[in-house]
Amino acid sequence: MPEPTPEPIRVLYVDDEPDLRQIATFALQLDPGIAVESCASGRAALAHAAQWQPALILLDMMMPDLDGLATRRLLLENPATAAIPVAFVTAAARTHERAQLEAAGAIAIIAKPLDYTRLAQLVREMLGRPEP
Amino acid sequence: MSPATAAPIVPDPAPIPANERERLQAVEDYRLAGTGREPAFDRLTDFAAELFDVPMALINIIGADIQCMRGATGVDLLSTTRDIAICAHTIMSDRLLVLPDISADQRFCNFPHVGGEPHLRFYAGAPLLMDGQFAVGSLCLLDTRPRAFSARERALLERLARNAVDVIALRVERFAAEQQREEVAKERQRLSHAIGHLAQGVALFDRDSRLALWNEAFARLLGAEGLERGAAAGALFAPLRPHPEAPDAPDALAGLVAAQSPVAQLDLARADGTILDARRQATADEQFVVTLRDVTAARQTARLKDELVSTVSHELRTPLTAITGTLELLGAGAAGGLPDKAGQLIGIAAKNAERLRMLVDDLLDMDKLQAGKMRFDLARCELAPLLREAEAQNRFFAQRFEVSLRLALPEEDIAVRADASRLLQVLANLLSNAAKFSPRGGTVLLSLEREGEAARISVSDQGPGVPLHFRERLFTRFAQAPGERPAGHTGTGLGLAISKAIVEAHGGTIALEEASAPGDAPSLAPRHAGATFAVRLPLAGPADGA
Repeated sequence: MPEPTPEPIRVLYVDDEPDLRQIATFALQLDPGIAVESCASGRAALAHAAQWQPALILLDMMMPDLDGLATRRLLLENPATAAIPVAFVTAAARTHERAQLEAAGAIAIIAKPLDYTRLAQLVREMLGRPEP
Repeated sequence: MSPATAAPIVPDPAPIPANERERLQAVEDYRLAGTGREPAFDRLTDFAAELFDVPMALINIIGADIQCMRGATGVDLLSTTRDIAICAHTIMSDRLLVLPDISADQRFCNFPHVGGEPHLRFYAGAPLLMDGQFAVGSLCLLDTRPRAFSARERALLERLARNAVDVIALRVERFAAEQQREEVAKERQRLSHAIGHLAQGVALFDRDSRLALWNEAFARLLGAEGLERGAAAGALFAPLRPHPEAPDAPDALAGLVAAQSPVAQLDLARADGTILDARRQATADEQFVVTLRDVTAARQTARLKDELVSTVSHELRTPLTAITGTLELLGAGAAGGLPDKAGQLIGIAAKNAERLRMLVDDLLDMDKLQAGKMRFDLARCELAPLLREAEAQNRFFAQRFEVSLRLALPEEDIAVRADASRLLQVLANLLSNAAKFSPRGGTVLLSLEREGEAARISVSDQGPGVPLHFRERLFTRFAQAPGERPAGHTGTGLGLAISKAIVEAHGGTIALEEASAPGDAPSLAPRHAGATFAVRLPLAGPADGA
């Protein structure tokens, strides 16, 4: 009897740029063990994360309306999303915000531009779930 | 000529003292020239007339050809010519001239006031000797009756004359002081007139940080009505807030208005949003000057520029990221296998998109560095882990050129005070340069050692080295070694200039270290001398924390 296929790792990618969302989705889909969904705003991510319960949220810092930090705060306020790990995606030049981001309790701060060919591998490393 | 007609009396010319020129100068210097009474002198002659019981007493000043009664009792006359002045004879010696009966003296019996009204008969005069040698005039007693003058009276007159000399000397000091006061007041007026018309606010604070002098613009820029001398600087600046608000800003504001402080410049915001550039300059006598300038418009422009740069950065980077990401994924087979030619074309597109992205990043960094706007979050930074991270981050890039990275770390811990992410940027630049210029199969060595009070990080390659003629421009902007572009070269010509600025902002140095000069002297140099770039940073002190 074949082993049951393990539950895929759910990753929610949040970015207001549609092309970047699509590329990240493609990049993460290179790993069959990862299930990706994406949101175009922090607001949308709050609702979707509560319902879909991803294993990781990749959260872009610079977004209109709710930026990454504000979204993170609201995620923490909702018991349904408070425990979901978050990694911030931010421009390399803005590393002076690092302390602020670390204080917000992110499991990682990923510098833009992302290395898309290694993004899936990076997600597995962050979650400590190596490829089977 | 009728014998009945009296011959006109023509007096002899007055005798002239040997030091006449200096004596006249003393008359000037002691401000005794000119006619007119002075109350202080009148009081002296009143006292003399009373003391000696004579109807007339004078303080006579002898000018070049005039005698002036500057103090007088019982005489209305203001001046006479010098030739009919008995006092002109008194000043010929430093002793009293006493004439118990003037009419008996051949020299004076024909003088008009002797021969005619009021028929003077008695004269006793004491020379007024300034500085013990210049007889500027005399203090004299007059009577219309002859009289004797006792030795005691002589002594008293001499003493009184010395008092008159003291009065003259004190009076001139008072004049000098008055003149000085006037000059100071005038100077002050000129100064306040000058600073009064400045658009810049200027204020002088004394060593107790109290307001001493200010112009209208200072009061206006401060937004303070009715400033008062002696107002405390701290209170004057209290309504202003440092701009932008920063954790150390209150200290900076306190420093700006403290008597002794290293704070030299601070931007302050008024409640109405006006931004003031405040500068503090100590004076030689421990006072300090604060100047204020309205820089609201300038700061706004700078902010708009920053926003523009930030926007452009974001707007350019996003599509570039999309392009590079797409091409990378295509190249990695995310959309299935590609025909060879398609793969090559995608590779070219990816390489150039990457180059464009680096150029945008470098231009933005350069802009920040030039404007002094690059932020450095300095903290104690252990170098060995940092170098390991640099090696890991650049390993894949080096592999593209079939170059391997090797680390050489010392056993001891070496720490500097640095912005780790910026140091990584410098190392990434040096490592990628080294990889690009290395021969295939070459090794790039990243090493760390302690060198006195500095940490030395070096990146060595086995490439052709840097041509001599290019070394001078190596760290300048848009400098790229001509004709030496290896395949896959994606430099912007800004990397080393940015690295140098970053290292120098850390108080360190960056230099090319190379033993020989390949390229320019091929016959002398080995073909692959390699280049070594060394970064030296001051070691972190114990105060920099762990």
